Amino acid sequence: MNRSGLTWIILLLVLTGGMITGLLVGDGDLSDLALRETYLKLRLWRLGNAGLAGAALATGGVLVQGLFRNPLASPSILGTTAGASLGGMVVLSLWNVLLAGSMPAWLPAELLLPVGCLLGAWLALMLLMTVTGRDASVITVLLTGFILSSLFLSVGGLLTSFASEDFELGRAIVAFTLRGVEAKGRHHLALAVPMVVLGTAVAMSWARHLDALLTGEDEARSIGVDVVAVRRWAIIWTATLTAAAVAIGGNISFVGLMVPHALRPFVGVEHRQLMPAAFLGGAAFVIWVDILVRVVPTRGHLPLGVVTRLVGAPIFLYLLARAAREGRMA
Amino acid sequence: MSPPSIGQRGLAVTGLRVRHRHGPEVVHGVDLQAHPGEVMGLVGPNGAGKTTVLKAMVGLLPSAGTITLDGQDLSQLSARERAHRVAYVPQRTALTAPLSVRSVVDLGRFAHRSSWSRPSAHDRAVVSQALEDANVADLAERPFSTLSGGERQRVLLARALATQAPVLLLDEPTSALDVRQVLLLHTILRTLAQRGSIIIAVLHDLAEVREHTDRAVLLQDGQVQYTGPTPEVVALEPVRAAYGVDLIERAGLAYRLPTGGGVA
Repeated sequence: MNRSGLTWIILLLVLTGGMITGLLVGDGDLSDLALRETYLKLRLWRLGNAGLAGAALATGGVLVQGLFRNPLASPSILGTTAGASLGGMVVLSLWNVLLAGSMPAWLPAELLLPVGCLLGAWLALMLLMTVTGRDASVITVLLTGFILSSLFLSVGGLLTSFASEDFELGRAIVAFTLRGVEAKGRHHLALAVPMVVLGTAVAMSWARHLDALLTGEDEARSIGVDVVAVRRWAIIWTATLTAAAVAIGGNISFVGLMVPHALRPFVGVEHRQLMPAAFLGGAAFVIWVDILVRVVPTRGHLPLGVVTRLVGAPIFLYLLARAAREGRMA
Repeated sequence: MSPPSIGQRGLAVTGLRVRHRHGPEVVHGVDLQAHPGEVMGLVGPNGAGKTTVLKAMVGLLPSAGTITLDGQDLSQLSARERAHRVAYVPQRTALTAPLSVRSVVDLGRFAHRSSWSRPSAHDRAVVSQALEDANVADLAERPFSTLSGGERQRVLLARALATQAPVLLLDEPTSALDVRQVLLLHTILRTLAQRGSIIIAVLHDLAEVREHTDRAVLLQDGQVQYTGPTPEVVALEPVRAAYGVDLIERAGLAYRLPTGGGVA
């Protein structure tokens, strides 16, 4: 069996192992027959949310890396995750200020979260592309992403500060931004599933276009790629995937960077292989990180995003240093 | 190399004007006509606008004027439709990712397949033939990023051959090739032309232009200064006017492929 085939089998085994472990591990005793079904349901939603968030972020990472022809790009590094997060906070705030009390009970604010996240992620990517232009260097794209991310986080902090005056709004925003997949239920999952499935399926159909873009925009166009359309749709589907991930998992960073990087040596750089591998790999990675945060003995709650950042930041620094050494920053 | 189908009206460029984004106009009303079966050399001193004209003909730069192939305005075509008709070999590629050579050449089949479809038997046969014709079949499974400059240039030619487009535009295709590969490339171009293709190549070496092209267009300052059969363009007076040098007609070193040493 070749290397790629073996990688697929390992990915499926790791994912399946994570799903089984995720159901067996966590607060609550499964031997308590009265509560076993409830525990299992809660763990199933959490498992689904974690897997879906990871799959969406890793696939989104492949998309932006292809779009920018920049292997150091990912939704979190480019400010897309922060944009989605800010969009979600704005929607929660607007809901509270303008619509609270006037909407039916079956329409909670959380249902509009993905819409806010989607708009935020989309605006963040549009802003990035407008500022950097078509032929920006790797360093320009990364720096612009960093600045935008800082800006969105600051505005988000400001919003959180204002929101703390209102108990309900403050609680909703803290639950959205600081609590991850453990605080999300089947409603969130039901909302995110179509976004992630549709986003990934459509992204897959752009695999050959993204392969062609590896050769540069001019060459891609010369072999028949509608570059403007690829750019437009890649932004839309990256925003969709990031928004879904943020809506169900909060701010989980670096997954879109690490997972594609880890998989390229095994499945290659062609997007037809890389994208589904990243989907499975991202799901498996976040599911296992979520299991880790459940079993690590801490006094308080350990957010999932803290662990991904702890792992991802050094990897990003290593990749950055390697790219600089190999003269790939221009 | 499959026979391209193209009418005798050929490729006609009329009043081509190109302006750099936020900059001055650099090509000022270029006219040129290329016919099936012809190898045309695009020559001129540095900054004359050769690459700009070529890129505008591929549709990579916004331009004014008309470019028609067999009477059909190329600007009215989608990128995919245009790629069926015009293939382009850039001087160098921006590709740094370790795509295999076969995958790079397979990108030449992009316009022939839908997004979801896998390569057909015909696609695979065309790609294999293009790899053979460009003399890179032995590199097929190597990562493109590990190749030398000359090998890369041949792979880019193979990708253009895989498009099966009847018009082939090449930007300094021999700049990184050794003498044998230069001769092999011109043999391929000549074979394509004999099968009815239109070949237009930006070339720097005037001796190479004289040896391997049928007609030449001499550009200077974004305008056509001379056009016609190559011996009339690459001649004393035009070369002196455009380059400021005297052309010395004398027998120097020359190369040829040994008998039976060309491409099949």
